[in-house]
Amino acid sequence: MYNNVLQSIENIAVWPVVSFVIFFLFFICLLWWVFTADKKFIEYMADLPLQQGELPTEQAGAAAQENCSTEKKLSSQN
Amino acid sequence: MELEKFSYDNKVVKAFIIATVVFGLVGMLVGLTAAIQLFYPIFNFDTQYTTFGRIRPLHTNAIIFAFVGNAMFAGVYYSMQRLLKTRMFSDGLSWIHFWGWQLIILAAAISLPLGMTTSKEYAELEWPIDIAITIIWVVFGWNMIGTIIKRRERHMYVAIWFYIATFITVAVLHLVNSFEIPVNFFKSYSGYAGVQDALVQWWYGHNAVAFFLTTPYLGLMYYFLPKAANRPVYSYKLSIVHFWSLIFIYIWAGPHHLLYTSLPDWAQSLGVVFSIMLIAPSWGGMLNGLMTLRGAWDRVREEPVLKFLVVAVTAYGMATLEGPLLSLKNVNAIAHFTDWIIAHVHVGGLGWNGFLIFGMLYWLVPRMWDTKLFSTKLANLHFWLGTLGIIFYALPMYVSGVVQSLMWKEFNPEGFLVYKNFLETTVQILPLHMLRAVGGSLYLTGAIIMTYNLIKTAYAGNFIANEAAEAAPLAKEYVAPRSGAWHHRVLEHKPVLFAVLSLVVILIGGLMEMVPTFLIKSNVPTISSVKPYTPLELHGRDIYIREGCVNCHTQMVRPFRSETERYGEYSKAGEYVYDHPFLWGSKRTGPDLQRIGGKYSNTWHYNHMLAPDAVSTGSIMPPYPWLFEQVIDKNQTGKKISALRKVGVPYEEGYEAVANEELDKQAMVIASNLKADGIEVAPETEIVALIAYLQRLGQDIKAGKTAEINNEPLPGSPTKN
Repeated sequence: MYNNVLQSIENIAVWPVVSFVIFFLFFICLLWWVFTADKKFIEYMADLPLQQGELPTEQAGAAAQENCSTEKKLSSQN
Repeated sequence: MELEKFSYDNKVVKAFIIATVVFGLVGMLVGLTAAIQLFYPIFNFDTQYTTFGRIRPLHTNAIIFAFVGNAMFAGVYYSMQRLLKTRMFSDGLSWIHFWGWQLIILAAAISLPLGMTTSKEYAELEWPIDIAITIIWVVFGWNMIGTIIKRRERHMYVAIWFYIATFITVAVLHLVNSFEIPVNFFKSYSGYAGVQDALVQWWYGHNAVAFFLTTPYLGLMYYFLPKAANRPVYSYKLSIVHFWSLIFIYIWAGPHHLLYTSLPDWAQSLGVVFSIMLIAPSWGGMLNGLMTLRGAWDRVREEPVLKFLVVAVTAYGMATLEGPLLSLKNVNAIAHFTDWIIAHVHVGGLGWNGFLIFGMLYWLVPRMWDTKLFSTKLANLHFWLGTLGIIFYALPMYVSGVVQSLMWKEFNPEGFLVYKNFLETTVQILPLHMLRAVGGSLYLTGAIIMTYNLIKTAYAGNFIANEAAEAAPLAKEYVAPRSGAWHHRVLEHKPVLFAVLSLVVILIGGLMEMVPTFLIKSNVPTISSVKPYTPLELHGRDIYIREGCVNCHTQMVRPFRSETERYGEYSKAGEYVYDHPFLWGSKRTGPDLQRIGGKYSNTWHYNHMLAPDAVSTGSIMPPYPWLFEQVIDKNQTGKKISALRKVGVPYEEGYEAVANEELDKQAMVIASNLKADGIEVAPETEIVALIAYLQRLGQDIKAGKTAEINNEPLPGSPTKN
């Protein structure tokens, strides 16, 4: 069944070439963007997981409640 | 802008954590049981439900989908809410997802020991469960995309990208590989046959590792490692390149599981090239993880969470270097079908997934229960037991793999195999199998200690079911900053478009491999003497599938002299055109069986299945006494024939009506043959069907040769292509 479907696609041989070109261009654009990206934006992105202001495990107990309030403060400052 | 008050849902995360721990312990215990059976076969408690062939898939499914799967969902639900500054899209969907997934696990835990299996590795579950998986997976994706759409953080952190790619790709893999025709509610046949089935299966199998065990865990690494180290990821730019190159390249590498098999050579080479390319993104990601700890290495000494994460990322690096090296044909020729592969997957499973999960749990539980970890000492003990467990597991398996492979291939000066009897090579590695079980026990002990530690931690704290948070909503009108703006507009602001692009990226690789294999006839040259199985053989084959024989025996003679000498002619693609599913196997705990037909008498097979150790002294194959009591269900014969005809096996129309007659005739021949040797057996017992199947294996190609010599047409050959 699928054989017939695939065989009926016209010019199927051109697909691999098209895919290669798409990917080549995609990765060139990706690298270009990555190398020229705004440094502040990259820093902002890298910092996203830390925005909650959580602390390492050993201090977690004492800090858990603080976290909540720190977060509120941080958010309100923004 | 005014802040909105909301809360994060910790309750569903808690549920997934509990499921992770419970199924982790169960999965490891089943694994340990299977490991013990490989040197002490009677550890199957003498019941069919716990023999190696049935519990090996139970172990892999429990670890992959129950332990690693539940932990993935726990981590995704926890991190996603915080990274997107919103509660999950729908609590209802979260709970449907949770309970649906647990029911699927329950169905697997019941159906696999009962022998209901498709026999395709990591996709063993039968079709009704496959449908359930599809529905629950869509619920997960719906919930995830919904959450992304209602987010309060404009930019999607790279972890979210990994989660989206996971959802999309697993959906595609599952749908394509589960294309099967039901025989009844509990049984189906793969829609693909032989070589094509093998290619689809290992495209799936390889990418299940890639997109179930790797990409979501890389997302978790990019979230939890910076959290635990309290510093941002080393290079966010690297993580972007890591993501796109990994999802693009990974999907192509599946054929490296089929090197030297009957898969077309071009597909094998494609798999090798892309596997080698995979080193770059994988190591980029590993270094990104490890370098995140720059300037914080002193804390690794004191902080168990970081210890676990460091070993996890290191194991990721080791496994992702070893994987590409194993896909080189010269290395693969030695390693494939041996314990080396078992070592490789367990460095990944125990090291990368296991340790990342443990690190994540030690980090999450004290925070979610608003307390301190009950005992850092116990966590450190767990770390060392786990690490020693990995070493004691992997090292013996590496040695065992190399020893057995070299023994298989050793010739004496006269040009004969030194170890002609396969069993000699098995007996040699049994002490290493015992050591492996020690490694597994250490690892399991560590996990039990963790369970105790986490329970004590939870009891000492107060669970925060809904964690309060505040954030500003997204502005409706957003003007992206000039620098890098197009990227944001195109991708990060449009999660659905992002998902579609990920889909395109992963589809290209799969299509490029599969379309030609399905399309070009010369890829699977047909052999005119290859005929469909007789009804009795078909029943026998289904018993072979049910008992999981494929877990220890291959049906793929590779074109090496050491193999053709031992087993006979190497395997041809055309021999498998009626094999739904293919049964090539991936591990030789016992010898290959593709040329077993006619090698031994029916009586030998009868006695061997009843007491393998009595026929082959020292054999670690378990006895199968139930095959001598249970009878085949002849009501299913017609249904089996019809289902197979639908997927392309050329049984004549109306063959169902006479199938059982033919079945009886063939069974009578075997029964009377056994009777001549003094063995009384009812013709309808399962053992007769199994013997019929085993005796058929490899016979077609021999029949072809005889006919060629005599220049005679083959009797009853269905089609001549």
